Amino acid sequence: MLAGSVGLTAMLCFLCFGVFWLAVPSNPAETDNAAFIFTVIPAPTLTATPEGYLTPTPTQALVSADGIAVGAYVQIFGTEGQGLRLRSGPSTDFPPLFLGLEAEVFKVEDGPKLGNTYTWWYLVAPYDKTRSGWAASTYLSLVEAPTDVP
Amino acid sequence: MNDVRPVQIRANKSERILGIEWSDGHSSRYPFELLRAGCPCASCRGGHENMRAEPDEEVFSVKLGDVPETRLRKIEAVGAYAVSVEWEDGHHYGIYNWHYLRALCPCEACRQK
Repeated sequence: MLAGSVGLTAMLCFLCFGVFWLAVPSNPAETDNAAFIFTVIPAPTLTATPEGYLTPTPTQALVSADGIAVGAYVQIFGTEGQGLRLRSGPSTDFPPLFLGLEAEVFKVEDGPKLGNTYTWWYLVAPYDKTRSGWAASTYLSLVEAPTDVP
Repeated sequence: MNDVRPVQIRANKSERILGIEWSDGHSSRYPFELLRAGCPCASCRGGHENMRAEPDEEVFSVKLGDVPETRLRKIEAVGAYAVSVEWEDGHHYGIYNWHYLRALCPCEACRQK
């Protein structure tokens, strides 16, 4: 009689555990993502290099006709309030990093480079080094250095 | 359209195309250039004040070419609502949710809506 009760209890425990194990997914994330098939097809290892811009040779002047040079300060102007895209490289082939505001002042830290018929300068905001990128000189004007640069 | 979800996502690095088959039967093919130009992160959109649920119209006419910025390094599912993309220039902040991706579909039918 006692042996029968123990056997019945063990069987019930086994059944309950089995139902619980089937009801709980092994990994909720896998269950969520299983809603779609996700495939990445690799590319050949040979890759192209970016083209479309030129680096000036040492014989080229490093001060442009409008007076812009490395170390100078410039201001964005002529965008009719729309601002100017500062890009990750010296050409419109490169994606914009952020939008410089009309009248925003930057320090010129590199350039000039030629790309897409524009002259490009690498600008850094004097108050926020994270606001930096390449800008076309068409929308830049030379200004005096700010007096309160840290 | 809010309930539309991908049933298959395929990133082809050779063709530089991300293909999505949607639950409503629509197929989208996104050139990597478009995906990068339409990166929805705050940095690419010019600040948090410019963040919207749909892409800017101008991203459909941007030509970036085959540069590190448009070469896909990695794409991963973000939960069950989006994918994140990392590019070869290291940029990896864009999270493309289903709604945004569907609005980014460059096919003629979607662009005329």
